[in-house]
Amino acid sequence: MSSHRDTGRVPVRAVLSLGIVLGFGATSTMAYWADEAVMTSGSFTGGAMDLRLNTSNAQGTDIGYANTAITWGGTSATALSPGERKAFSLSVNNVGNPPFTYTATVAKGASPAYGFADSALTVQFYAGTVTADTTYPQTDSCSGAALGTEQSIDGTTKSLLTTAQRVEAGSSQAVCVVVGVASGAGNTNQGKVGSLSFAFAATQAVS
Amino acid sequence: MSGSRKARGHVRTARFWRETLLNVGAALGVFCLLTAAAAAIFGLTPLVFRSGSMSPTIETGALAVAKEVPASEIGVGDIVSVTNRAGVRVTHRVESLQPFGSQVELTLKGDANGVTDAETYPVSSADRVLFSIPYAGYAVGWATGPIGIFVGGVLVACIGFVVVSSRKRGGSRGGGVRKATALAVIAVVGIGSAVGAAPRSTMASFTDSSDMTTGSFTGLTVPGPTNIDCNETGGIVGAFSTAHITWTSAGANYSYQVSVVHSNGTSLINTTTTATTYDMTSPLLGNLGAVTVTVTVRAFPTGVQSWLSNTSVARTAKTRALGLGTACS
Repeated sequence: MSSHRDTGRVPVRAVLSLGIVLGFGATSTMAYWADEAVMTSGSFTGGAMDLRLNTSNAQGTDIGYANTAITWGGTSATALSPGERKAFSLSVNNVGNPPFTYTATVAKGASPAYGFADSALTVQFYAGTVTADTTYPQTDSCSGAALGTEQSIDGTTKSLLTTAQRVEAGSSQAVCVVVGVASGAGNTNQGKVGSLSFAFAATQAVS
Repeated sequence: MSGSRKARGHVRTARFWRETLLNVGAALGVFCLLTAAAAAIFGLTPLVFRSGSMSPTIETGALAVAKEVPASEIGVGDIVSVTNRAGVRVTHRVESLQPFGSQVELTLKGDANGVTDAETYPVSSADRVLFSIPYAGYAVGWATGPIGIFVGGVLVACIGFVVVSSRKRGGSRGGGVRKATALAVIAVVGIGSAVGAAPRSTMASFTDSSDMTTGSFTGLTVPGPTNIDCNETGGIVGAFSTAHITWTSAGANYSYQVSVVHSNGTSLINTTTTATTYDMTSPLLGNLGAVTVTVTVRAFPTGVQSWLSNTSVARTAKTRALGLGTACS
């Protein structure tokens, strides 16, 4: 008789078991109609995020990187006059676990003391590699498309990317940095010295 | 004899497993339903952490429960969940907040991040995290993934089979109807609760920043021309000659600005040339007598006349009386 009672309870417990599916599993399908992205399995990210420039081990989080390869004008033969521009290669590496998107800004560098007049120097980011121009006036170009508009360096921080650039984990993006002297730069900028300070901010991308 | 005992043993084992399965299933089912119902009633949102920038407070894979609170109740140090401009839900700690109107503008930062989020979040309300359960998010992620859905489907099928087979064995028809009704009620309640309590996945987004300073840039210092000289060409017996001014090039990329200034300071000629010579014309017919002038030459990068060399070379010359040519002096 006890066995008969057991079978009598079976459906009740069985039906209650369905609650697992209804209250838990069904959320996945129901929630797709909700107004925001909901849980999809399989994309948990641990570890850390790390944007590094040029090499994978030279500089990490928050550590200032003095990229002395981006320079010109040590001698008058390599200095630029108004309308000239020089391109430099830079690689943005994602050496962390998650993919990220990054933005970049530029401002006057602190050292040496910035001597150029406002808006005398310009900076623009392109994709790709450097195409050097060996004739005068020197107007280097880049193999890829512009990633942002040309920015004049003045007292403010200027954004260099129109849209945040995505870099997958373990990948890198080749950026071509063009620094020039504005064609309208005044005579007072002759012989002046300055450097630039770039800031790259990476945010974890949603995969 | 021993065979029938063995058979009875099999039956007992099977029943044990069925009972266990049913008990555990029923308990989990009730728990899920109650949780879903509670979430719906109290406005709670489950959050599954898909990344670990809130580590060590909340690690990747944790399941947090958050409750929506108005902007006025949000304080610095709270862990809140907001939606960023890209539509992604981000759960970070409030670093600072700035009220404006009925909203607040939140600056958030992940505990494991060195910098605050690049974007600030203007919100009128936010989901504040009440507590979190480590690793539980993985279970939710699994349960709501393809495998979980498949397993759920199999479970429904198995239970359906159990219900049907048990009814065949002894359940009355009325009992079947009752059970079907119960099933329907649970289904409606469960689905309704599920809509309210769908687990939201949240990024506790990692951020990182790198700074780069460049080497120095030096603007061109335009070199001046050197070695200016003057010699007379052409002319007949002290008349109609031309003062031929020459100088040494400042470099391949330069042009020259030549200015001729009267000894009284009046500027007479201002012209440019790419050559390193200048033949002074005599525009000075108005001056009947001979006039002493200074010829000054500066360099500039070809095409950029505004950048004149600071250094220059100068040479005096003269015009002949009655405008009859020019001469060195």
